Amino acid sequence: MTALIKAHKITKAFPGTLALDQVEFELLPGEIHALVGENGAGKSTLMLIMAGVYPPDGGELVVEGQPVKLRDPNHAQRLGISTVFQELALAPNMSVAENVFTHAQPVNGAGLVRFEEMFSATERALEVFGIKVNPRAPLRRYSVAVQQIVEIARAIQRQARALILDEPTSAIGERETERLSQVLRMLRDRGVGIIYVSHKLDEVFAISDRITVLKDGKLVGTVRTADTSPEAVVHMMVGRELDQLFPPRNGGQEDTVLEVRNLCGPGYTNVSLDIRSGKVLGVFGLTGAGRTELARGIFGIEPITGGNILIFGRPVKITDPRKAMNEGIAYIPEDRKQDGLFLEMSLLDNVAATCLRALSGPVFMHGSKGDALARDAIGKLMIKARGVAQRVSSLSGGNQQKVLFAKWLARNPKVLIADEPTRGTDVGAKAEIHTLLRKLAKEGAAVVMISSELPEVLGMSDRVAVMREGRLVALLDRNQATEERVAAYALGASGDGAAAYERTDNE
Amino acid sequence: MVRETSVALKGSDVPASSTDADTVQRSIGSRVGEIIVNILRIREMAMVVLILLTCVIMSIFSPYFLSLANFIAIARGFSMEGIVVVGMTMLLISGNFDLSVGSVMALSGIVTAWFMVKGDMPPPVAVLGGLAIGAAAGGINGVVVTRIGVNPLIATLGMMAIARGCALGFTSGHPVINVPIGFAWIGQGSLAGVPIPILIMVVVVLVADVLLRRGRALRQLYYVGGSPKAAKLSGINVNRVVFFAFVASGVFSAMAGIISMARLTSGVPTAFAGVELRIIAACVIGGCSLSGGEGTVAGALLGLIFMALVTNALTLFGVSIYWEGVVTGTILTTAVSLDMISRRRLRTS
Repeated sequence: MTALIKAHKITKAFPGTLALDQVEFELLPGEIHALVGENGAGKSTLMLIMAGVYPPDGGELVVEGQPVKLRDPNHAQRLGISTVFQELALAPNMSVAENVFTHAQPVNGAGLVRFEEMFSATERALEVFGIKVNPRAPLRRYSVAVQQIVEIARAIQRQARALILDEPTSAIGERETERLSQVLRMLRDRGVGIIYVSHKLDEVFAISDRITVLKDGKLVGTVRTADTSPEAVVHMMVGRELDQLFPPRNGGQEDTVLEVRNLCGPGYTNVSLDIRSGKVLGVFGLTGAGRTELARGIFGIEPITGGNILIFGRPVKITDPRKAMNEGIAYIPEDRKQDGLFLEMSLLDNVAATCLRALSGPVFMHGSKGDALARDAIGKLMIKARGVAQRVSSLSGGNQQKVLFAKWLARNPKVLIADEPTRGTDVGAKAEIHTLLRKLAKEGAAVVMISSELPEVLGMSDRVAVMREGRLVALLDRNQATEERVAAYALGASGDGAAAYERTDNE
Repeated sequence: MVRETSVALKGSDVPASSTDADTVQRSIGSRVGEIIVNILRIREMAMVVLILLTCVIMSIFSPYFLSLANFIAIARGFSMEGIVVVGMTMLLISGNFDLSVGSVMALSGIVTAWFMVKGDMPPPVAVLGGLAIGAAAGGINGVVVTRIGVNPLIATLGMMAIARGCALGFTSGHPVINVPIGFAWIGQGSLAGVPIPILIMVVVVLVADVLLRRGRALRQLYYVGGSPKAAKLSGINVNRVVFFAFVASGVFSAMAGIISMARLTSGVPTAFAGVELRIIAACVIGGCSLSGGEGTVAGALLGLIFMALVTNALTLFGVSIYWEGVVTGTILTTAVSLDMISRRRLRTS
């Protein structure tokens, strides 16, 4: 049988990382082939290469026996490869029908769109999923779940021979997920090949025929779903030697600085946690597990909808970031370019941003004070910069991250929440940031490190909190936190599933 | 998965860390060249060079250009706009802009004149009234933009029509005349040979420029315009900063409108139409960016001076004033295009 898509020795590098290293992948007609791996394993990159978004740096893509160089997603579509991207690519102001039929709209002899035909075809296409919508209504009136299904319906409607779905169930409910599975099986039986990218292992096991596991940009293996178990797949995904050195942990005094009780907000529910001085709390979970949302709630960016935040046992109302700052909380956001730095401003301006008042008199900024602060930061954090006036946009990723740290350290925070602090930095900068986090803990700060990298979480944390689908599913002491255990909780493959809330806290 | 993709997509513009090492190794000779390039890269310097060049060319071709009288005439011509430029610069730095400045100038001039002529109020009270009108107009713009979230284009376009409508409605379209002679001194008088409007503009520009460079309150405008999200997460009250910038723009417009009214000794409801485009053009030529975070008052004023010089050139060469728009528009588009091209070079090099 000729493979629909065959990826042969595909290699792709991005500055600083080798995203894919000689990866082999094959999609046969009439199979559902799941592609799994941790965050950063390279499954997105591989998917985007097969969808025609990125050209590979090396290797070959063979579509139905023909070697091809995909120019763009449109080219892939013409070869019969349809992709549903995770980010919705829809026109919210246009009708549902026009979103389903973006390409081959039915036309009459004069080239005018036959709307009635399109509307009824849309109704039929969506009925398969068990949802009734008005095909004439603008799409924005419907929920994200419906929009996700419209996106899938569009891909199916194109009569693709190969269908790539990237986390198709991330926004839809159980009922729609079940309908989707039925539709996918039906398509499979008609000979369509489906690539199913997901990190929900229960779904993967329920629907797929084969599973390919990627790790750190390399192929671990392809197995038949019937011959394997969730535990075995988790092991394939994370089984890795700890090859990085992490700074030694510190003992000593610990006090509960910040406590959240039954905290609820957009993206997380009922989270109870205590954050202690002198310690690093690692927060692990997959994308969408609610880690960042929880941090944003504590820092007052998105309002919380329930529960309490206590600082040294005192309930506080944090309604905006300034209140959080006044309580001694610092938050280093995940997206440093968007939310963290003022890229076109100088290093000095960036470091000074959180403490303008302290650096100025009634009217004027004290040039010397700010200058001293910035110089101090360059020295302490070993920032490689030409001087305090250098634009932050011209620094390397690791040095930008250090500037972001400097900006918050200028306030001497009691609680420091760092969201993916080493993302996009090289190995050297990573180690320096780890040392810095540990040093802050040693000096008495309560450090919270949110990370998607399991080795980092295990190497750095005194305790590990695991989140999944908006809930805190485990709070493990570092002795109990093993790779397999943490990953199993995060993936929901830990036997009893979400119900198994484990707390091995030695209190 | 979204995360993975976005990292990958962003990965391409992470600057290479090797550039630091390269700079260190460069020879002293190319350093000097680099310094010159860097000085010219400062927008104010580039503008000064451009203005001097224009002056040299003008003095060669026109015997009337190089005279104190001509320079004072030019300066008096743009002194009112120079005040408005200050408020507009603040707004542009914060990532906003104000189309209502011309209408607010006319309205506050009329209100001040009306207070003196019809209300028989002493001039200082009347002036305060006029400034209050400007502050109110700016305040409304600020509230509509920051609290309700209306785009500044729409919000200030609305205010542009409302203020103009008020000016025309209150006066039925007729100028308010017979302003007290003593008051006219603000617009017509001079101190040590320098016209009062020029003096006022110089003071306003100097104070604002220093405060934008060194003052805590106004530095916040750069943070807000540079990255509103990061500014909010750094504890800066973004809405308050933007609101203040709109009020400042309203007050400076009112100030300019009142001085113009004093100079003409009458409040003219149809005056200053289209002035907003000239002001925004001056700011952008002088280094402000419509996306915020960049610009200085000095640069914006130099942009205004450059435009005034070109207008003066048209007059001296006997070109009809009706052609002015063509020249202003061409300068604006050319300046911004050159800026875009040089930035693209910087990024790719």
